[in-house]
Amino acid sequence: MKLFVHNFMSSRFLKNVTVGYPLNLVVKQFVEKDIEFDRDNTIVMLDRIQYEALIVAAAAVNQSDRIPREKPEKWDELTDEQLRVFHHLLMNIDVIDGELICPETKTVFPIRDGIPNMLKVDAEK
Amino acid sequence: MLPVLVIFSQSHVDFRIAEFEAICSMFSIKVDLSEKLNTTDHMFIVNFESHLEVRKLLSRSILVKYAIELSIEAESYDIMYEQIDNKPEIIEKFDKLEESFAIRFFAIGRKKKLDSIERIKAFLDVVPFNKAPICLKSPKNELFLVEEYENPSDEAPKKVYFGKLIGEGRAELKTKYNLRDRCYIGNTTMDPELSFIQSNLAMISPGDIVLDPFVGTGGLILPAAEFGAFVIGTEINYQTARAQGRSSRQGVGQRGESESIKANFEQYKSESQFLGVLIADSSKHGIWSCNAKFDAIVADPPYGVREKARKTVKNKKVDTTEEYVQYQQKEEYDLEAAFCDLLNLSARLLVINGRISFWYPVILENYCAENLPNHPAMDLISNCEQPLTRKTSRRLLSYRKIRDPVNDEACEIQKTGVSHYRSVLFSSAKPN
Repeated sequence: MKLFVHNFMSSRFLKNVTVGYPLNLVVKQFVEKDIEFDRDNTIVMLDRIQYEALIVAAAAVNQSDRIPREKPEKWDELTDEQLRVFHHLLMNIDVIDGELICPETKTVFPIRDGIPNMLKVDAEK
Repeated sequence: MLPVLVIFSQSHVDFRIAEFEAICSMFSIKVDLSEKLNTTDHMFIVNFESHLEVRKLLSRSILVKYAIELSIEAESYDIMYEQIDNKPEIIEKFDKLEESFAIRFFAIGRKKKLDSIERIKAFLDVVPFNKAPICLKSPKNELFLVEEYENPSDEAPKKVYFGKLIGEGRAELKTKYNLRDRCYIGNTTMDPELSFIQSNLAMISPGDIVLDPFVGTGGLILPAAEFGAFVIGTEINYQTARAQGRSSRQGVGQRGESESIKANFEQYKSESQFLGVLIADSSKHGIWSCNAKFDAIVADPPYGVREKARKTVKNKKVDTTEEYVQYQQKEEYDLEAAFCDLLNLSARLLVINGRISFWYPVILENYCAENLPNHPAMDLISNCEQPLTRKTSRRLLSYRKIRDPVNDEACEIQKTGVSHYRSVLFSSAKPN
């Protein structure tokens, strides 16, 4: 699972969960890919993400110091170098082993072999 | 104006117009159809604005075989030769010392007893090329002599055409993505040709973010990735998502270690486009956050025939012990409810103007437009049929999101039909 996906996921489907976002993320193992940077595609993706969730994801792979604490005003005003950092986080980091955790109920969804499992039953306590 | 002879594949004719229109719409190609496209003829003269626009069409079309810049259209060879006599520049344009050429012959409407070499020879006897060198492998100018027959038994063609090939469509993709050589396939993996047509109907463009909520082994998102989109899938079946259990290939037994959805992307070198798959129940829309927006959704929901249609339900009685991981029970998903749910999900997750394209099974006997799912925020763009059995077929439905849904707008099916799909399909089955 590329870190981008984490940004789109929530645990609102669980009973008694109202926001369920962002999911907490524990990364036990990840691989770094080298996927070609494309300025336009990166901006399209950044336009859709929630910055607070990206900060959670960056922290999970110990890279929070690489991105600004505040969301940049306009993505298309960033230089290629600045955008590359975001591209790297969203597209190059592939989580292999870890956990997604509901921020409200603390329900754990395991990530194994790069695939998160959102079906666990104790999700529905 | 550039008159182009567009020759279509003779398979999947019901998808032809929809695919052509979707690609033209995707690239804002303005075309003037001198003969309106239909499903019985296989070639048409289409006026384009430029070569570039023809090339854009060819870069995506699975069903267009050839696009030929039309030089001559005539009722017979004699008339064609007469036209060349009157306007020698038609040929002179291609008869240059520094430009090699080849002549190809193509006939439509009659295949038997046509000797293409004879035809080309006869043509060159009357229309000599004096300067241009012949090159059959990679000619600068690939010239086409095309015959169109009214009836397969006719001696003489109804029309003959001559022109230069602009290019071919993307039919090679169905070979590249053939299922025999694909790393990981399932029982219901989509035919590659149709899967690419579906990506076209969903107007998937480079950089798009695309979802398949019933991803299976990834057969519908591989074409999307080939076309440059970033793809995500969800799958309710744990074993399918993890490529465990028995292989769908006959005589293979258990699935191998190397099989996985990701391995399919690696095989076709589109791993960079693959964002991931989740094991999740697509009927639970809350697995997606409020900011989750997709440009397109492609789906082939299970009809409950070769794969079960299922969603999760709350376990009635749960005995969980520490070491025993309990998964949710899954129940059969009413087919019509499943399709309505898919449109509701699309109305929520798509960007405005985003498209969903999905397969919808129908019972031929009582099929009518009222059987189709209808959502106030979604506009039905195309409806193409693939026959399946004597009693059933499936339709590839493509909708465009016209606006965000308001209040509790939801999808409806006016007249029930599909939910009996399974029982109708098996009703004539003889008992053992």
